Amino acid sequence: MNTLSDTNYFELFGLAPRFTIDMHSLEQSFRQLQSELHPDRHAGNSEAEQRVALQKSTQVNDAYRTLRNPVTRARCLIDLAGVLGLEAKTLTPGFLMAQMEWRESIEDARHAGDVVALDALSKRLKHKVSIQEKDLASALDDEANFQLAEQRLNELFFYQKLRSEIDDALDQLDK
Amino acid sequence: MAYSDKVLDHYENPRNVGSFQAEDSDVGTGMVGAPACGDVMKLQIKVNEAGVIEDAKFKTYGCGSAIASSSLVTEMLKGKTLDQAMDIKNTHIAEELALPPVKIHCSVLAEDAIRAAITDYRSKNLMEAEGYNACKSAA
Repeated sequence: MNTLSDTNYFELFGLAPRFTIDMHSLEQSFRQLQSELHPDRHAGNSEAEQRVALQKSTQVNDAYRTLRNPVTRARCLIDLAGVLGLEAKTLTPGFLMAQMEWRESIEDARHAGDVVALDALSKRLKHKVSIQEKDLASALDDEANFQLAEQRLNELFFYQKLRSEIDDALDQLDK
Repeated sequence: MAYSDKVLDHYENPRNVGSFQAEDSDVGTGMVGAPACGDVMKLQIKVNEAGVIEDAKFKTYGCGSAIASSSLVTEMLKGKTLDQAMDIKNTHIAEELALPPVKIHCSVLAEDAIRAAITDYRSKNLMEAEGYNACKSAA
């Protein structure tokens, strides 16, 4: 059995290395692999073979988790491309200013206990994230522009932070 | 996580929170962010005719260490020339606040903010300075 370091997460599930993937195929391949690797199937094998199956099963879990999440999937693709000296352009002042405004709006709504405003922000953010993910998909899949992808990914991290800030505020007001 | 007394002091009583008019020619604005933690920091300096930083203000959304780092920096900047301000290193900030290793990046962010604010001021005022290339920073 090969070690997984020789292969990549996408190959493991028989997927092309693209950001846009068929979640259903991923899920199916995952289940298929895990059933093949299940300890019960290897009970009659040598101890070494059983250990390899167990290791591989752990790696399949890691791979599945990585590919299911858009952020880690993008990270994985950029790493696979192996472009050396790749450094994302710094975040633009416009982007950072918009981040400031988002944070201000969330904080204001939190202080005011304004659930309606927080819900509206949450909706707006969802829309933003879906656009961001589309941009990321086109940078990776259509343009193979990994520097741009790195930048889009960095921006996506800020949106994740906004998501957790909004959710925290809503949780807090819920109590 | 236990914050040092200095971090707590700056966190609970942040100095110089606020904004200047970013369009004013005597104001330099530095905006920086850290994708890893989603922190955003805005640092502004007001520079007098002698090239000395007269006043500084900040606004930071982030953890206690990020807020303390930027608050401390506004105090450190006042009275310094732009070249002296350029010499402030994240290690000075981290030492002063006794930041633990996992929070060093907050001081790095504050150092980046200083540089960004000075670069903004200089590019607005087209000042020649060693190592400063107007064409490069405009790109």
